[in-house]
Amino acid sequence: MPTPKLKAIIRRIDDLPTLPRTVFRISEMINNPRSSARDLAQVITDDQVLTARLLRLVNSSFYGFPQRITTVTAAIVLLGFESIRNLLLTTSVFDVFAGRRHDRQKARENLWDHSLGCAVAARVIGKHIRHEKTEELFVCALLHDIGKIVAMVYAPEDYDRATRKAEQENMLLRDAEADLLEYTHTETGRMLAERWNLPAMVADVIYYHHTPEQAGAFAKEAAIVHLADIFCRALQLGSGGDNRIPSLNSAAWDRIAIRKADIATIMTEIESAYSDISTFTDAATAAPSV
Amino acid sequence: MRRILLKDARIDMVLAADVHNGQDMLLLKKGVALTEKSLRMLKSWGVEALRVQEADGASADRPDPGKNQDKIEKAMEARFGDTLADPVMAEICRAAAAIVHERNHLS
Ligand SMILES: [Fe+2]
Ligand SMILES: [Fe+2]
Repeated sequence: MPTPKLKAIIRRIDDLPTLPRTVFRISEMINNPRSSARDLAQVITDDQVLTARLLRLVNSSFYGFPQRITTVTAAIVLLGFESIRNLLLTTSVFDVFAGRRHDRQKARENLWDHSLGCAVAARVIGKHIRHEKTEELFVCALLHDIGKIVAMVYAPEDYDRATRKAEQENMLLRDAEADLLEYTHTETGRMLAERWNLPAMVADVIYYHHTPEQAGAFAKEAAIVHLADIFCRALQLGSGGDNRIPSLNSAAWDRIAIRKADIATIMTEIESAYSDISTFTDAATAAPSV
Repeated sequence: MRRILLKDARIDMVLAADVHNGQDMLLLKKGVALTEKSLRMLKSWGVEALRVQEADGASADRPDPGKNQDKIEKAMEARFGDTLADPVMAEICRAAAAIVHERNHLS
């Protein structure tokens, strides 16, 4: 049950930029083998911000196309379904991380890198075990620590105290939060997801990513994000505000059922997928206007 | 100033000239120190060579790779702490140290 402090935070949460519904519609679409480039174009043109961003990016020097691209359909044909989806998804979530104010820039950047790393890792794990919803896994993981952004914005003193304790005592941020505060980032994250009307799978994976066995119907997805979090911390892709590596939940590990001998291969794949996508989003979010 | 191949570039080296990609887009400005992230970015852009400032001790920026690997492994183990008792975590730690070492050296 939400404590008074948590309720007070939630009341103000409307100030955060929302995650466009479009983002989830796009990932659902990717999983539907019957959806076409035209369906995707329809979803994008419904959203003016995404349309503008997409056209700006394809016309930026990142791609270096000689002629000007003026329609969403042309952009999809040139770049392909997958890269468009990745671009729109990640840049929309990036907006939430970047925030309007420019405080705590470094912490936000680190958390963004951590989230992107975890998203990439969750997708690689998902593909490896042939999970049928790898794109949803990507979104769940991208948002798994979103509660930390909520704290940075609405309870910065709390966030500072918790990260300081985590650093001084070399503990997980979540444990420091549990010791010091009346809430943890898993609770604030889930509340935000519910506020944004994201699917139950996203809300539950956020809430249970540190205790994946309690996630009920989404235990497998929570387990994957739990492992993805460990992988991307081990690989030092960004930072989630603490330096510790969480211990592996053994029931979660058994549930995912990957072989120990495959770990190095999977992690190498995560490393290379991450460097591809991070360059791409760097260009997308920094694309100069045309 | 000396011209080096990207594969020999190391974190903390300071650029002596701007770096552009094939389309002449500015990637990094003269004077900035290379980071893990920027090395990764240059690699993905296919940059092959760059100009860096001369370091004080000519050999100081080329540490013995074996020794470096050792250091990475130690630091990694410290972050894993007592989770290393789990053989799966030990394997994750080992794999991560190898990948991070490779990344820093872009070999
Ligand atoms: Fe977390
Ligand atoms: Fe995390």
